[in-house]
Parts: sequence; C-alpha cells; structure tokens
Amino acid sequence: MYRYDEFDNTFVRERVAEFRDQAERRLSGQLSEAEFKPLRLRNGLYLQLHAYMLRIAIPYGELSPRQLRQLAMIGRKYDRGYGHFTTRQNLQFNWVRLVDMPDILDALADVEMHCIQTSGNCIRNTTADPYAGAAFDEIEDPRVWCEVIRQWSTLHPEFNWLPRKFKIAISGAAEDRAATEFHDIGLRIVKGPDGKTGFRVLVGGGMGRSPFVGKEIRPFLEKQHLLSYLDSMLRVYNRYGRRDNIYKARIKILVHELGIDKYREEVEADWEANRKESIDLPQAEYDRIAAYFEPPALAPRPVRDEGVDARRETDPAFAGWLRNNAKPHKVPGYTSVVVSLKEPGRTPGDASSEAMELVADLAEQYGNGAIRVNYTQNLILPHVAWSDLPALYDALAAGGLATGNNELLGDLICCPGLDYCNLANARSIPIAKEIAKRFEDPERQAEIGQIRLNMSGCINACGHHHSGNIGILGVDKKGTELYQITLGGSPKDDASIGSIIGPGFRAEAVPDAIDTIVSTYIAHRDEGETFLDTWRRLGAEPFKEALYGAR
Amino acid sequence: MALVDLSSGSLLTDAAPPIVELVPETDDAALAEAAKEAGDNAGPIAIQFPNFGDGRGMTLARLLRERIGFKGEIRAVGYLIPDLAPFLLRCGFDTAELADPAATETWKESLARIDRAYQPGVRNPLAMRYGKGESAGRAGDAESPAGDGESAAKALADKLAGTKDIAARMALIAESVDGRLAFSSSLGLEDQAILNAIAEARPDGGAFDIFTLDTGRLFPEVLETLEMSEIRYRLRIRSVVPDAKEVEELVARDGVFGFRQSIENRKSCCEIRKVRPLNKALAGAAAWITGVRREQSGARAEMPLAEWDAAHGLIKVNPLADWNGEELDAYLAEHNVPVNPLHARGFISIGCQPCTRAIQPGEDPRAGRWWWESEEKKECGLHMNPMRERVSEGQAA
Amino acid sequence: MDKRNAKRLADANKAGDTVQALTANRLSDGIVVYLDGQGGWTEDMAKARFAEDDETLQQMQGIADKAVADRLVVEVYPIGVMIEDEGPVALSVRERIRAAHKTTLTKDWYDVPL
Repeated sequence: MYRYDEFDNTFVRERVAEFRDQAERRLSGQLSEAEFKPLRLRNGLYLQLHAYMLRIAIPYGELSPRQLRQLAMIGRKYDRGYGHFTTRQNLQFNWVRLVDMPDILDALADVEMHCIQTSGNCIRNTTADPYAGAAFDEIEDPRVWCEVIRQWSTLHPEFNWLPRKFKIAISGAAEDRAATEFHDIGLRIVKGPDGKTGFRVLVGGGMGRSPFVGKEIRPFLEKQHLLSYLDSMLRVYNRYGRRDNIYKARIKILVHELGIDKYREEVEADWEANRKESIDLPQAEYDRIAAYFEPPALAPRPVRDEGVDARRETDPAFAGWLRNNAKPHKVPGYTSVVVSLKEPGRTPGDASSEAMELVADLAEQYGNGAIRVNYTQNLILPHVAWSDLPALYDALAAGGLATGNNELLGDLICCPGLDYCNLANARSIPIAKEIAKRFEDPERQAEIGQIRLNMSGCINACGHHHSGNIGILGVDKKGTELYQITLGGSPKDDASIGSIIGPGFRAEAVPDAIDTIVSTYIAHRDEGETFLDTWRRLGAEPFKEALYGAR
Repeated sequence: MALVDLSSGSLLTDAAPPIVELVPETDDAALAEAAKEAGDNAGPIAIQFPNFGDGRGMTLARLLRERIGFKGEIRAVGYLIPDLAPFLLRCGFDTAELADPAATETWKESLARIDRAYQPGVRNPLAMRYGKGESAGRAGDAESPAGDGESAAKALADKLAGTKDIAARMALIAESVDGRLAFSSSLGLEDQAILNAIAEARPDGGAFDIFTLDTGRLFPEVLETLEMSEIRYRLRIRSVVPDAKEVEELVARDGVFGFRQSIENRKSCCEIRKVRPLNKALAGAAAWITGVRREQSGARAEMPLAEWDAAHGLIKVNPLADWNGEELDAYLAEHNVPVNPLHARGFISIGCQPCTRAIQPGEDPRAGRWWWESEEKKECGLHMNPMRERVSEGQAA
Repeated sequence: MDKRNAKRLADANKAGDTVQALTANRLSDGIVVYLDGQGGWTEDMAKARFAEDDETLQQMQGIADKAVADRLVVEVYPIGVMIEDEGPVALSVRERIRAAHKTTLTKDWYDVPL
C-alpha cells in the first residue's frame, strides 16, 4: 500500500497544526461557532445528535494492521470503544470530544491517516473495489489511480468550493464492486481497441433525493490523460453546476439538465484547451506511486486442502461461511475473506476496538498484512491461503466476526439513522437489527440466496436504498417514523434504481413486509433466478398484491 | 477599499479601482474581452465572490492566467474569508478585498501556512509534486577537460565584467554556457536579486535550475519567502533535501543541537544538511550561480565573477561578487523584490534557524552566523574552494 | 436559529398541554445537555428546567444566549416535553433518543420503544 514520504507527512502535520490552532481559537472565543463550523467540517468533525462525530478517511478502503490498531486505540482512548465503518469505506467515531480532536489528528498522522475532505463541498475519498489487487476477474489494480486522485484532489485550489460534494469511484475488474454507476464520476478500467487499458468514464450517477444511474461521457480515455480529463470535468461542473438550490447542486442534476451530449461537448472543449502536459502525471511519478502497489509475493499453492474439505463436511456454519465469505483470488490456492460486521443483532458496520485489534492480528498472521473496507460495511482480508481458512474462521468466530452471510439478506447495508445522525428523519439501526433477527436462520438465508437489502434513515440515502434489490427509506410522517419500500434496485453492472412499491409501513411492520416480499419471490422464481431476475420478469404486481392485498 | 496583497500578506490601502469587475457567471468570450481591456489599460481585473463557498471565481482566475495568459493584477472581491487566501493565491489572484482591515493578520497567518501543494497550478507549473527533490533540466556537457573549463570560466568572467547590470549578466550566462545553470538560492537578499534578474532575462526560467537547500532547520520565514517568490516570478524553486537516514544518524549521534558543542559537530551537520545535498544538486550542471559578494566576509574577499570549480566540474558564477551593500539595497528597492521579513528584524545572513541570530547595527554582516565560533572558520563549506584555501594558507605561512 | 430548529419549536408549541425545556450540546465534548433551574447544564433531562409559558422560555433563552457567548454550549433550541408520572418524556422520537444518551454497540440495548 502507499506510504507517506516526507512531503505527504509534512503536509498532513501542517494540517494538524492548523486545526490545533483553530480549535484553540474556538475554545478561547476568538472564533464563533459560525466561523468554526466550516473549519471543523473540513477536518471531518460534525456535531451530531448525541455528540461530535469524526469521519476518518480510509483512502479507497485500504488499511494496514498498524493503522487498524491505531484506530482501535483511538476508539478506546477517545471514544467509547468502537467505531462505525461507513458505506463509503470510511470510519466514523461517534463520541469524540472537541478538546481531544488535535491529539486524535496527531495520532492519525502517526499512522499516515487524516480526515481532510471527509466533509464539505469538495472531492471526497475515492471508492474502489475492495478486492483490488486480489480479484480473479481484475483487469488492472485501480488503487494506483485512487492514490493519484487522492493526491491530486487534496486541497485542490480550484475545486475546493464546488457547488456540492463530489465522489469518484474506480473499478478495475470485470464485475463492478465499487458502485461506479452511482457516483458523481465512475471510472471503469477497460481494454481499449489496441489492447491497452484505459478508462470508461461515467458521470452524473448518484442517490439522494433524485437518484440517477451514471451516463457514459467517454467510452475510452487513455490512462495518461486521467487527471487532465477529470480537471476539465470538474471545471465545467464548478462553473455551471447549480448553486441556487442545495438539492439540485450535485453534478447529476447538471448532467441531467444539460443532457449528457451538451455536457460532453463542454468538457471536451475545455479539455482541448487544457494544459494537459502540466496536469497529467508524468510516467516517473506514476511509476513512483505504482511501486507501492506491487502485489504481495504469493507462491501458488494447491487449490484443495484436506483440512478445509473435512471441516466443510462436518461443520455447516463453516461450510456456509466458506461458500459466501471466501471469494476467488487471482493466485491459485488463495482467497479473499470477508470479515463480517453483520452478526445478527449488532449494528451493521460497527466494530469494537477489540474486534479491530483481532482483525489486525489475523491480517498479519494469515493475510499478508492487508485489510480492506468494503462499502457494504464489512472488512476484507484480500490475501489468505486456502489452507489457513479453518484456523482463521475459528479465530474470527471467537470475536463474533465469522457470520457467513456475505451478500445474503443478513448482510444488509444500513446508515446510522436517527440514533446518531442530525439529518435523519427515522431510525434505521433497530429496524435493520429486527430484520436480521427475523432472517437469522442460515438455512433460510441460503434458500433466499444472494440479495441486497439497503436501508437509509433519510432521503440523503447514505444507506444506498435506491440501489438495494430491496430498499427501505425511513421518513417522518407527522411525528411518526414510516418506512417506504423500494424494489428492483441494483448497484452492479446492471445498475438500476428501485421503484416504490406502495404506501409506507410502520417500524414494527417492516420485518413482516420484508418477509412477505421474500416469500413472494421464492414462490414465483424460476430455476436459478435471483430476486432481481424475478422482479424484472414479473414486475411489481405480485409483490403489491402480497403486501397490500387485492385492491 | 482595503486590499490584502496575497504575495506578502500586507495591507494595501491606495489600490487603483479595477478596470473590469467580473461576475462568477462570466463566460469565455467575456473573460477574454476583460483581459484585453484590463491589459490595454494596465489595470486590475476584479472577480466577484458572492459568498465564500462559491468557487467559480477560482476557475475564472485560472482561466485568465493559464488559458488567456493575463499578466496583470487579478483581485478577489466580495465575501471572502482568510482561510481562502492560499487557494486564491494558487489560482492566480494577486490581491483580495478585506471587509475588515483588522483581519490582515489572520490573512497573513493563513498565507504563511502553505508551503506544500500536490497540484499543478499557477504557482506550481509541474504536475503534482513531480520534480521536487530531484535534478531537473538538461545535464551539462559530460567531462569537460579542466583546462577548457578554466578558460571558459575566465572568458565568462571577462564578459560579465563588461556590465554591472545583473539582468544583463544573467542573459550573458544563459548565452555563454550550454547546459543546466544551477542556481542555489538561500532566499537571502543577494539571491533574491539574482532571482529577479533571472526572471527578467528568462521569464520561463530557461536553462536556469533554481533550487534551495532545505536543511530541515530553516526559518519558516525562509519558506514563506520561497512561496512568495514562486508566486511573484511564476518560477519553481526546487527544494533539495538532505538524506533522511544521514540526518537520523547525525541526530542520534550528536543530539538535536549537537552542532553547538564543537566545530566538528557543526561541520558534520553542515556537511550532511547542506554540502552533500548541494553536491547532489550540482551533479551534471554546467554552471553554478551563487549570490556570494566579496564584501561579505574575509574568506570571500577575492571571489572572481566566474571561476572554474574543479571539485564540482563546473563554472562557478558569482554575478554579484563586485556589488556592494548599497547597490544591492537600491536594486531590491527599485524592483520591489520580495525579501525575507527577517531582514527587517536585524537578520542579515540567514542560514539554518538554530545557527542564526540577529546582528546589531555596525556588526559584521556574518556575525549572526555560528556566533559562538571565531571569524576565520565561519563557512558552511558550500563556498570552500580547496585550491584557494591552500593558497591562502600559503600566504599566511 | 436555523430552519430546522424553528420547525422544532413550532412542533413543540403545537403540542398543547406540554412544557418546554432548552437543550443544547456542550461545546467541549458535544454531549447533549439541558438548562437546569440553577442556570447550569445537566445531562439528565429529569433535572431540566421546564417552562410552562413563553415568558419563562424567553428568560431561559436569555440565560442560554449567555452560555453560548461564554462558550459553554452550542446549538441551543427548545423542545416539547410531556410530564408523565415516571418523569419527563420528550415529545419527539429524536429528542427521546437524545435524552437516552445511548450507544448501539451491545446487543439488545435498545430501550427507546419502536
């Protein structure tokens, strides 16, 4: 993974010193709250429902054991012993004190981390395929470009006051595991006409109040021009994006209102005039960064292991975990393991300091020291030898981290909701817990098969409800929490936005409603059909009828 | 209207009104027209910021600088907060309107904080931080025989003696020497005069490779001066840094302030933090331009305008060797050259922070360097010519 | 007062035979607090000062304004509270969650009713 050099280190330390000064000025009264707020937000510090919340950038979801241990330490020393992994591969602490913030930032800088641009109308942390560098279907490792974008976008002089926040995602594999079609800019690494790799560039995807699937602006962009092309895309947005209405300020609205052809025309014209040579990265600098992302030296190993086979025969929980949580790796005899943060009854994405330390230890012991955060709020050990799986499973299980429900119904995505969030209109965590408990039986989940259930506590859609096969949106209806259900969304290559199925449900009725939807799918599915297949074949009618009866 | 000068952080109260004032919505055609109008009338362009979260003005300034090539003053007006200052500066603004002149200090502080940026931009013509810390530019002619070098140096010295105009001297150097022209700047007064002259003779820098030895112990004011200079001249000043491992070992051995304990310690500190990085930066250069003046210290009294530096295998050029302090001051004032604010506080020769103090009026200008040591030894080693050193020893004997 | 807080106040006032408390977040650590009868700030809503009329609320607001100026608290706003036999209960779900100061780490923690 990338390591800071003197430049990066000094840069981050300077920002810490800057915040220390700003916090002191706030506490001594030189800065008012109105003046301080934008400054603390630039460092990821929000004032939430119960307390201050700190959002820490985990660049493209990659962590070292040392970093994860430091996060565990921060959780224990400065918070209440746990943190929350978000749907953008970041980590949030919910109970930090303002007075401790400078020390926390220093502790983060000690392990080459920061909170810069985790809030505000600027370019945020880039989302990436959490299996990057390991996935069997990978064309090229996207992390190098993520790091290039991280550096290029950090305190960019021109693009720090955009109309609204800006999120970029990159996937370098055949399957889209970074939801690129739901980002402001989505980049897919593809093979071009001459066999060289480049980017398919999508723009204007997003969730929130007005969800859109990204539109293609360029089928193929030569890799060396990525930064100058992004520069032009951002410039057109910065100049012409709406600033009169916060709900219409994202680039998706600009692209929608102008039309993709007109937006493309503007971008290409700007790019034509752009000083590409001074913006695009020289090969030497690319090579310097790329050197950090050399794959670990994994010697191919046997693809079968007697210990694994024997355990699989006798232990159904292990067999289920193996089936769902061990993903194919590009090197024979290895696998990428999903460390579940979705044990039924727990808050999706929460991890205690002890859990973080356990994962850090196991990553060193079994995983070549690599850890990733998935936007589905799980952790991943990307490089694990197949024969180590039983031992790893036992160690994870002891920490409650071996639930074998990856990509099943219990692996639901959920925002913090009204339990923590100042913007939320309704709770999402307790609903998610109730649903997880309802479907706790692994056999039931196995019967249902792969399904994506996403829940948000407000229209801002941090829980990605629009892209859930089943989406749940909490709303406030005259003081009562009400939950709207959408069906048919997908975050993958067949990206689509779910449709509202009918009137909302009260909190206590939501698990029943989900049960009804799932049972309807099982009753109607053809051989081998996923939920999405059945939905796309049959449409809303059978589900409506099951939920609301014949009308 | 009060303005803050973004290149110095100082308050301007008698600014000329802008020739044109642009709204954030300004399109390309209107932008080009405004640049022409302002250019014809030699006056500023103002760009409006309706609120501090509106970044459109940043784009307009960059377009004016980078696409249209507008060279005049660009002024930010409207709702502006001090925290915007570094961003304005890096997008090409020269001045910003101050709602409250009392806030000048906060603006100044905000400007002083930046000394690193990832992006290319008006202040940083190179993509990301590419080129920082490594030799750039053309390599000098390989392995020139020393005899040729000596005669070339002598010829250059004669040419330079023909004029005292520093910009003309820089042009002569650029014409006469083929290859990379390394200019090691300490951001002192002499070096700033040379920088100004380079910018005059070769606005794009040409073959001049301008760098500073960032020893890790510099005054923050030195870095600020560097920043201001880059903005003023739109030239990159590379930072050449010492080897981290060597510094670690040095500090482990002698302690953080070990150089105060003995001259030997001090010299090994200079060696690791200055001499070796300098040698690295000079490798392959055709010429080395310095700001040394004969007046500065006894050891420098016989410095020629150009000489063959056999140790480094290049021509060492001292274009200010024959200037006196008054001439230098007059030049700096006349060209409004950005200078290190420490000079105004009694610092004359500024090196590393722990080894430099202010001097009293009348004291020797280099009395503020390594003040605990005696006069003869006060060289950091950068300008030690082994040949000449032997000669002077011989004379003393 | 921002729009959200204005709406919260309007909601609080609509509620009829209820009282009002002033809530805020402490500047130093962000924790939810309530203005108490001694002009201090308490984490326990049961110890809060309750206003039965606008005049009292105005007076409380004055104390709170000073606390903001003195950098003790931020984000002050009034909430509607119902006085039940077992103690005061905030009218909105949001305020009941704030008053509970709860984390969601442990299993089966949830005691704010669905």
